[in-house]
Amino acid sequence: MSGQVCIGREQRQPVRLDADVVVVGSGAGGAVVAGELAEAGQRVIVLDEGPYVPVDVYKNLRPSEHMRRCWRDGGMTVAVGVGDTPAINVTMGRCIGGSSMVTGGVCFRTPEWVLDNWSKELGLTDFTPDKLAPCFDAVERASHVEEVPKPMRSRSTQLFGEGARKLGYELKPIRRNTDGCDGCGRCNFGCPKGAKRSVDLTYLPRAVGAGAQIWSDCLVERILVQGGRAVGVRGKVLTGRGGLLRRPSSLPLEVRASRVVVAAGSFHSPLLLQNSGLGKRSGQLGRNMTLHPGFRMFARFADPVRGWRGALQSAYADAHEEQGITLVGLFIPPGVLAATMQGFGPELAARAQKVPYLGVFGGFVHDEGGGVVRKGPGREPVVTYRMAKPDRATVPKVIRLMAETFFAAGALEVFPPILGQPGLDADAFKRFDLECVPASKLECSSQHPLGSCRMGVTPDSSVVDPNGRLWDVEQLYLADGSIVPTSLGVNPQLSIMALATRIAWHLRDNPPC
Amino acid sequence: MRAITRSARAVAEALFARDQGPPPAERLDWLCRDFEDFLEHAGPRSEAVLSASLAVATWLAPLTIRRRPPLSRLSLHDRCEALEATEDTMAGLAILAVKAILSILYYEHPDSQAEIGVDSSCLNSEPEGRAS
Repeated sequence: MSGQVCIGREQRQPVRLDADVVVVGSGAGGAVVAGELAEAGQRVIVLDEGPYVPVDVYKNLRPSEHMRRCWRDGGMTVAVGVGDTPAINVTMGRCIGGSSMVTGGVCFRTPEWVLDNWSKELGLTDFTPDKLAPCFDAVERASHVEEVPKPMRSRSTQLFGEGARKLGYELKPIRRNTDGCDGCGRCNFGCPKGAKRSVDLTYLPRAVGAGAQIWSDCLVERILVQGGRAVGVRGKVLTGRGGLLRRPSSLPLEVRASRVVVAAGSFHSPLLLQNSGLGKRSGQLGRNMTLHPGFRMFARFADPVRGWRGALQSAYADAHEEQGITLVGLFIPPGVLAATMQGFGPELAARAQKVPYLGVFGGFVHDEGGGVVRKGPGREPVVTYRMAKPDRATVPKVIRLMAETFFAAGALEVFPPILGQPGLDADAFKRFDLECVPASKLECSSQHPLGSCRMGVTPDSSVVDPNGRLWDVEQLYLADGSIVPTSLGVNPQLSIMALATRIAWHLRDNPPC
Repeated sequence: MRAITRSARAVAEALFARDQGPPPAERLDWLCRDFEDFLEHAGPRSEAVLSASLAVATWLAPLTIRRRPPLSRLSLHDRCEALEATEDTMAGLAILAVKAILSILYYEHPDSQAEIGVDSSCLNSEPEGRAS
C-alpha cells in the first residue's frame, strides 16, 4: 500500500474533499467498511488522526519505537479508577491501521452465549451465530485467520499448559490473523516478518485498489449535520507534531459526503459525537464502557524459559468462563519484565538476570460496563472506570488461578501484578492475602475498550440502532468497538470486524435517498 | 539536553546502577537520545504523564528519605533508596511509569540485553536484534 496513502503532514494547503462516504478511523472497523464500500463502487475517503507507518518501516522498529509511533500516547493511556478500582493502562493504536496494528492478532468469533444474551436480554435478535456467520466467514477469509500450531507455542505457554493440565483444565489453541508467522513473540509491536495480517495489509489495500483515498494525520473534530442528516466532517490536517506546551501546526480539513461512518474507537467515537452535540438522546453516550480488565502473572522457573521465542499469543483457557475469567497466553518485552521487578540499582540488576527464566500468562475479567468517556481539557477524552463489585471480587481469583497454575508447572516463585511486590514462593503465596490488596496497588491493563456508544433496539437505551445508525441523525453510522453492547469475554477484534462487515453490507444494499 | 531528560538521566543512573557504579556513559547518552525521540513521537499526553512522574521522582522522592531535592544531588545509593521508598507510597504509579519507559528503552540496547541473557531470536529463525 506504500505510496497510496495521502500523507497529511506533507500537505501545504487546506484539504477539501468530496466523497460518497467518509470514514473516520482506519482500524478494524473503519478499514472493513472502507474496503467493502469501495469495492461496491462507492467513492470512499478514510481519515485517520495517526501517522502512516508502512510495513517495511514498522517491521524494522524496536518495540519501543513501534510504541511511540503507532500506539496512542506511546502506550501511556490510562482509564482512571474510581472507588475500589485500579488505574487501568489501556492500549490503543493511533496510526493508519488503528488498533489492529497493536493487537496480538487473536481472533475469536463472538461466543454463542454472548449472542444469546444480546438476543434475550437486549432484543438484538438478528445477531445469531447463523446470521452473523457470513460476516465472520468474509473477515476470516480476508484476514487469513488460522489456528496457531502447537509447535509455535512458547516455552512459557507450554509450561502454563502443563500446570493447567495438572489442575484439571486444558489450554485451547488460539486462532490469529497471520500468514507465515516465525514466532517472534512481538505481534503487538509490529511483526518483524509482516506476517500479522492487520488491516493495513488486508482491507486498506483492497480499499485503495478500488479507488478509496486514505489520509493520515487528519484529525476530525466535528460531524457536519444539515436538516437532521450527516453531510460531512470538519477538522484539522496535522502538519506538525505538537508538544506539551505547543499546539501542533495544522491546516483546515473538510470532507463533504453523503454518508459519515465513525470508527474512531471506544474512547474517541463518543468524544467526536459529544463535540458535535450528537447522540445525547438516550443519555448513554460515552457510558457503559467495558474494558476486560487484565492482569499478568510472571513465574520464575529453574531452567531458562526464553518466553519471547514463539507466538506472542497461542493458547487460551475458557474453563473458568462461568466465573467471568478468560486466561490468554502472552509475552511481554524483557524491558517491561525488568521494570516490574522490585527495587532499583544493583538489586534490580540482580533481579533482571531472572528475565530469561520467567514464564508469563495473562487473564482478564469479563466485566460489566463501568467506564465513562468525558470531554477532557484538551482534545483527548478523560476516561474513568468503576469496577462492579462482582468484577472486583473476581480479581484475586484470576491472580490466584494463574499463580497456582504456574506452581503446578514447577515454578519456584511468582510475581503477582502488585506494585512493589517481591516474588513469592508457593508457601508464601498461600499465606498471602490477595483479597486485602488495595486497588491502588494492582497493576491492571486493558486492550479491549468496548461499548461506549452501545447498540440497541430502542433510542431510549442505546446510541445506535442494530445497523449502527445513530438514532437521531440520518446517514451517520458507527462501526467500531464502541457499539458492542456488552463485554465479550474474548478478544474482540474479529467481532468488531464482523459487525463492521454487517454494517458495510447494509450501507451497500441501502444507498442514501 | 532538556530538563525532563536530565531528570530521566538522574533516575536512570540509579535505576540501572550495578555494584561498580552507573552504566557506561555512552549507554546513558544513547538512552537519553532515545528518550527524547520517544517524547517527540509519543505525543503531548505521554509527555505530560512522564513530566509529572519525573517531577515526583526528582522533587518528592528525596523527601521520603529526608534528603533535599533534586534527586540528581543524591549519591546513587541514596537515589535508589529514595526511589524505592517512593515506590511503596501512593506515588508508586508515577515511579512505575518512569521505571517502565526507561527500562523498555534501556533493555533494547544490545549490550543491556546481553547482560541479562536476552536475545531477539524468533522460534523459527535467527536473531534479528538491532539498536542504533
